[in-house]
Amino acid sequence: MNLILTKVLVLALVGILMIGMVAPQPVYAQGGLLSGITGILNGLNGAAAALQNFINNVMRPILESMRAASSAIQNILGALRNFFEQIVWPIAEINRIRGLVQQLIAQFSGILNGLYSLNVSSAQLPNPRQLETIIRNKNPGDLASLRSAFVQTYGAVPAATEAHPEERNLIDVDDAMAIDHLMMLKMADAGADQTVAAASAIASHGLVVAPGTAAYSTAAAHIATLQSNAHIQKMIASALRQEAARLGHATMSSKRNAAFTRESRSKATELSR
Amino acid sequence: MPNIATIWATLGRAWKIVSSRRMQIIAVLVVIALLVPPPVHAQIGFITGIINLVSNGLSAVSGVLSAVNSTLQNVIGPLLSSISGAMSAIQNITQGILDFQQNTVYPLAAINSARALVGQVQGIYNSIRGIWNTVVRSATLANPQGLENVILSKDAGQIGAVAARFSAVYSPLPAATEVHPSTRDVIDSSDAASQAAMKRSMAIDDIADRELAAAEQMMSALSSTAPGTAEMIGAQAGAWVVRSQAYTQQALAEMMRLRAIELAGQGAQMKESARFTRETRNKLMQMSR
Repeated sequence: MNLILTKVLVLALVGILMIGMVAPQPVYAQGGLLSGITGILNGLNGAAAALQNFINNVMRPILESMRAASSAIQNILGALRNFFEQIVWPIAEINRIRGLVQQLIAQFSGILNGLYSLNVSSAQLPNPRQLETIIRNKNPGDLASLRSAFVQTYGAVPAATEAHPEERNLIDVDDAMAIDHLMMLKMADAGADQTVAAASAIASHGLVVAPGTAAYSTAAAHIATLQSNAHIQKMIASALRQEAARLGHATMSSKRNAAFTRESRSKATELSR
Repeated sequence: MPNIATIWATLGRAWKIVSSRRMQIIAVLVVIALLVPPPVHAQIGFITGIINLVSNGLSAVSGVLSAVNSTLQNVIGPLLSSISGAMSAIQNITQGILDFQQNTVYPLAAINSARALVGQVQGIYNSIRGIWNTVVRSATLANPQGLENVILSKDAGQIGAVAARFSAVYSPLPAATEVHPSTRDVIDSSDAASQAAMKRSMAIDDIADRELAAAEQMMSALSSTAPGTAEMIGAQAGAWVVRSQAYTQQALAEMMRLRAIELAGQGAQMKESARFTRETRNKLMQMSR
């Protein structure tokens, strides 16, 4: 009986020990939950600490530099505004210049217009007076009248039977250069009137011009000056033609003298035979 | 009630039994110990632990967040407040600058007025251009007409035709056998100056027309340009004016040369008279011998 009991106990012990060796170890489920909560809380704590660190070490320096920069910008803009309003475009100075424009117009326009339109006509006889009126009327539309008035005063080109062909050419070209020049001067006078009108418009605009728009007036004046220069050049070109004709005429006299001498010598030679 | 001796006897028997089966008893106890489950912790303690843990953790987080809040309110808040104040001031100043620019420096009405002025000046010069386009011709004979057509052509490309047209009107240079060499030189020099002046007049007319074309382009651009770029056109026009002055100077120089040659020709005539007088006197003296 005892032996049987002992064998049973030995077998039971061996079985239990085998099961204990093969079976998995027990785990503590509650212990993992705690660890997770701890991890989360540690994470939150770390994040909050990181936020604090970010605010102190990153955000704060940036904001401080932004404050310094915005303060500097404020100062610069304030200085810029003062510079614009008190140095570059002071209202008082703008008004003073407008006053100067008004004063210049009032002081000089009337006098200059009077001098500009001064009548200098001086002829006494009908034909010269007619010619003078036409050449000074600033009307480029009556050029044909100028030619007839010129002929009335200075005569026409002689008929072919009345003068040597060379002399007729010379007379005709002299007259043509003179008439052309007088015609051109009528255009110049008419153009000068318009130029004065343009100058007056630009000057009067000074009364309402703003500092930022004065460049328009300046540019317009420059362009108008260029155009006036071109017209002056045309006048000089016309004067050049006239002077060239005058010199050509003078030289023609020498040529004519030479021809006359040659012809006289030939005739004298014929007579002496 | 049993007496002490009975109890002692019972205990003695029990001891003998235990002593005789002690190995079995130990084995049974070992089996029981192995089979009995291990003790577990009570749930109340676990929950309390979690609460304590969370509470401690949240307390720590709260402390840090409280510090963050304090920093935001005491450091970041004033910083942002001062930045906001500065930005507000900047906005005011910028608005002031903008108002000044819009109302005083570049008022829209003044811009439109300036553009209208440019249009007005452009119209005036269009009118002047019409005046200058009037055709001027006055010669009546064939040769003078030929010369006039060339020298009033405003076309520098026709300069090559001047010499022939000039000779047709003013006669060519006399042959060497017909005039004294010195007189021939004077004639040639004078004719050259006259022809050069006529050629120059054609070139100047051509130049003037091109200047007018450039001026028209600039005026047209000016009428639609912005206030900030008007000065660029003004500068360009200024450069053209300077260039134009150079052309004017060239034309005036040609005029002055012409006058100088004319004066020289007058002097040459007097010299020629003196020479003629001297030669005549010499011949008379020879005849009287």
